Order: sequence, then structure tokens, then C-alpha cells
Amino acid sequence: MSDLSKSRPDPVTKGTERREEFPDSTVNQIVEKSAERKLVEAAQNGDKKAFGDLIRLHQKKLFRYIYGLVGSFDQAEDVVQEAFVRVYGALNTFKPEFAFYPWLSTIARNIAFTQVNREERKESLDNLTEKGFDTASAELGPLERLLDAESEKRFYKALMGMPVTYRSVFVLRHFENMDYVQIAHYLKIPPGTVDSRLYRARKYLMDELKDLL
Amino acid sequence: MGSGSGMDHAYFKDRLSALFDNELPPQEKQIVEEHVRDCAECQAALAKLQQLEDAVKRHSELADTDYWEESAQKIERQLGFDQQTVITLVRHKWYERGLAWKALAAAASLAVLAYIGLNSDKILRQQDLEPSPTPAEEKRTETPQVSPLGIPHADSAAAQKAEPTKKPLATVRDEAARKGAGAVESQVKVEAPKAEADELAPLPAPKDVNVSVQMVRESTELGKQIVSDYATNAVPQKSRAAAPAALSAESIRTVPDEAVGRLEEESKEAAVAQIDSAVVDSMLVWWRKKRDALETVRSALPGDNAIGGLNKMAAPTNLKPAERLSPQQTRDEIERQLLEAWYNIARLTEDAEERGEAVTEIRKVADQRRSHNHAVAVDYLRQLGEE
Repeated sequence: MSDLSKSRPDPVTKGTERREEFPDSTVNQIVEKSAERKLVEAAQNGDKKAFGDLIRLHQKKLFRYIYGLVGSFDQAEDVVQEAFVRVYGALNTFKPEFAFYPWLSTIARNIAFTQVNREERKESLDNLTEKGFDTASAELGPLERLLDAESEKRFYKALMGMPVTYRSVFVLRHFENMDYVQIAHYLKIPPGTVDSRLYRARKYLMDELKDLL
Repeated sequence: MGSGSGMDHAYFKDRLSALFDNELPPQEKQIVEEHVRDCAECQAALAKLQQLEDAVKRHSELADTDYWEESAQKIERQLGFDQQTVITLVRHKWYERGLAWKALAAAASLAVLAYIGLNSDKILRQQDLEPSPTPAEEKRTETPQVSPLGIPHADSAAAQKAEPTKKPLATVRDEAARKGAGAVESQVKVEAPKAEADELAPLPAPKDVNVSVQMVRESTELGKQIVSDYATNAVPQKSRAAAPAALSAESIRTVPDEAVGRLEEESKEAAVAQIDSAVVDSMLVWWRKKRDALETVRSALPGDNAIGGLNKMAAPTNLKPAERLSPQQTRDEIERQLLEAWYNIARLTEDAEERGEAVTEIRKVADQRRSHNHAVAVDYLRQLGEE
């Protein structure tokens, strides 16, 4: 039996395909990282345009991630802005040899978690901790202007139909590629809970989006 | 261990999600993988997980719209990037204006010096060789010298011809100092000694010695040479003799270098005064903007009442409690910066009303003996002579 433990392999169907993609994506990552490092160094030397480029480079991905966590367009917007402001303020403490996005997203996540925790506490107070999955009543609001296709709207409606406890695990796993231990650490829950929440979240999405799979 | 031995199918189905993520412990992973190899349903479920992951990648991308650029600009505004750009532009403007004036002053100085160098023999003939007329003599020279036969005397006619060049160098210098560098150029133009131009042949006659680029270019090198020679006083007589015939060593040597030096200095001073004026204008604009911004901030500060306190609590802050200023400290700091702005406006402005307003504001603080900025305000008033 082949070793299936390398880089999240699909044990049956997709292992080979993943390995074929590896070289190209690695080259792209190196090129992107090199360009990003130049921008970071320039920004550290006071080049505001370079920092503007970093904002434009990462804001979309960061917004998607934070929106997935907090589930509110306005809150996500605020968190993203606040994250860039904090990062800019601490730019000189950052070592350019490291990747910029993980640092940025960690700061944004910490800001967002404050809001998520607040929301969870509020749910707890209202005895709504185990709010059910409900795609039908989920609303996208201003996010719709950022979604081109109907399939994208359906995906986000389903995502927003999840309780925040499940959604946050799903988003950390799928948008940010975190492993269970990292997710457990950030959400302050046991790894087993990560596993079970992710299982349920996936099951729910597979049911909701079965015609899109 | 067989695929189903001791464990039912539901267990394996539950573990597929963790298997897909490569999150199972090695022993459990091996057991689940063995089951999957023999179980078509679990293989299908695993494939579904892969399809879901692909679908998430496909359908979760946000569209490229104007929103992102707007959002980026909003963040940049929040970081004060646009404000900084304005300041940079203002600074750049000062710099450009400074350079322009310096270039103009330098060109004017060189034009004047070149003219003096070219016509030094004439200037000296009138200034030094011909004694300055006494008032009586001046009166006499007003009427041309006439021979007993009524024919103008030859010397008198020459003197009449030379009349335009008679204005002494000191007069040129004084007028230049009064009117600035531009005045020097126009003065030189008026003074161009057409009458004696022919005598300077083979050099081209300086018919229109002004700021025209061509003329300045032609005369600059020669003017530089003259000034340099006299400044260092190190050029041997021999090399001076190599100058064009009309600029004989004799005539050059008699140019009063002190006068040349003074004229050059005064031209520079006139240009520097213009630069200073531009800087003062820009500084005033800066301090006025700062004053307005601070006054806006001060008016928006929450007060000590209940609503103000609630607003403050609701306002987001990234500072640790120990790093936060108390409301009073914040007000004091803003007031201190405002005092600085008012002081600089009062110091720089030429508008008496604006100065009066600024002094009044400083005095208000100075009058409050309990204010933390009392001493600062009193000191500013003293420096402004408004104690």
C-alpha cells in the first residue's frame, strides 16, 4: 500500500494529479514570494506605493477569509482595514524573509476572533449556541456585488447558513489550509471537536451543493 | 485486520473526513485506508470530499470589481497616504521655486559681471580717470562746450555721446539692491553703451546686454574668468594678457573688485529674500492647516459627561490601557499643539488681524493659570513680544 501521508493525499483518486501540479505551483510560489518580498522591503523603507501594492495584492483573499469567519460584510471590511493599519504600524518589526500573508492573516484573524467570540457569547446568552444549519434564511447583503455567478451566491449562502462554530472551522481548513491542531489552537477547542465540526460542515455543504459538485 | 472486523461501516464513514485531511494517527489511518480499498461506498464518499474541495475553490472566488480599488484607497486614506502626498507636493514646490530663483539670480549676476568685464575700461574712464564733477562742474557740463565760433568742442561732443554710460556704478548697484535681480538686468539693458561699442572692436558690441539666453551664454564664461581671477588674485599677469585685445591687462586690473563683489552679493541677497518669502508662505499654509485640523479634533473630543463617556467607551482603540491618554491628557496635548500652531502663525503672518487672533488664543491659555500649558503659552507670548 502506498504511503498516503504526503501533503494531504487523496488515498484513492487524486494523489497522482496532486503530485503533477507540484513543480509549477512551487515555481509560482517562489516567484510570487520574491516579488512580495521586494514590496515588503520597499514598504519598510517608506515606499507607500509598495504598501499600497501589498494591500491590493492581498485584500481580496483576506476579505474572503475574514468574511467567512465573521459572516458580516461590514465587519469583514472593518477587520481587513484594521488589519492593514496594524500591519503598517508594525511593518518594521516584520522580517521580509518570511511570507507576508500569513502574518497579515494572523493579525486579521485575531481581530476577527474577538468579534466571533463576542458573537458566540451572545449566542450562548440567547441559548442559541447550537443554532441549526439554515441556508434558506441566510442573507448575503452587500457581498452579492462581489459575486458574479449564481453558483458563487449559492456557495456563500450555504456557508452563511452554518452556525459560526462550524463555519469558522470550515473556513480555516479550506480557505487557509490549516491543519486540525492549528485550528484547535486558534479556536481554543480540542482537535477532536475540529474533526467532528468539519465532518458535519462538509456533510451539510455536500447536501446543499450536490448539483454543483 | 479485515475491513469490517470489529468495526462497522458507520465508523469508517465518520473517519473519511479526517483521512481526507491526512489527520488520522498512523495506526488508525492504516486501518481506515484498508477499509476504503475494499469499500466502494467509502471510495465514493472520499471522491465526494475531493469534489467538495474543488467546488469550494471554484465557487468561493470573489469577483474583480471596483470595490477592491475603492477599499484599497480607503485603507490608504486611513493610513494618511493621501495627506502625505499633499505635503510632499508642497515641499517639492518650495524646492522648485528656490531653484528657479537661484538660477535666475545666478544668470543675472553673471550677465552683470560679464558686462562690467567687457566694458570695464569705459566704466573706469568715467569713474576713475575722470574726476567726479563738483556741483559747480556739474552745472557747467550741462551746457555743451562751444568754441568761440559756435562749433561744439570735440571733447564736449564726445562727452555728450558718452552721456548714457555716465551713471556711476554705485547707482547701478543701489538700484539693483532696491529692485532685486530682475532690476539689475533691466538696468544693464538701459545702460548699454551703444555710443562706444565700436571702440571695443573686434569684440562684438554688447548692443543688448540683458537676460537673453544667447548673450548670457556668450558672456558667462568670460565673466566667470574675470571674477575668478580677481577673487583668487592668483592668475599670473601673463595669462591675463592672453585675453582678447580689447580687454587689456591694464583695463581689467583697474576694475574695483570690491564693487564687483558687493554687486554679486546683493544680487544673491535679493534672490534669497525671494526664496525666504516663498518658504514663509508655504509654512504659513502648513500651520494654518494644522491649526484647522487640531481645532476640528478638539471640537470632536468626547466630554466628561455621560454621553461623551459612552462614546469614548464605544470608540475602538488598539492601545493597551497603560498606553492610553486620559481625556484630560488628550485635551492638553491638542491644546499644546494648537499653541504651537498659533505661535507660528502669529510669527509668520503679515496679516495683523490673523496675528491678533492667534495672540488672543495664546493669551486665553496664558490667562488660565491652572492650565498645564500655561507656561508654554506665556513663553510664546513673551517671544512674540505680547506679554
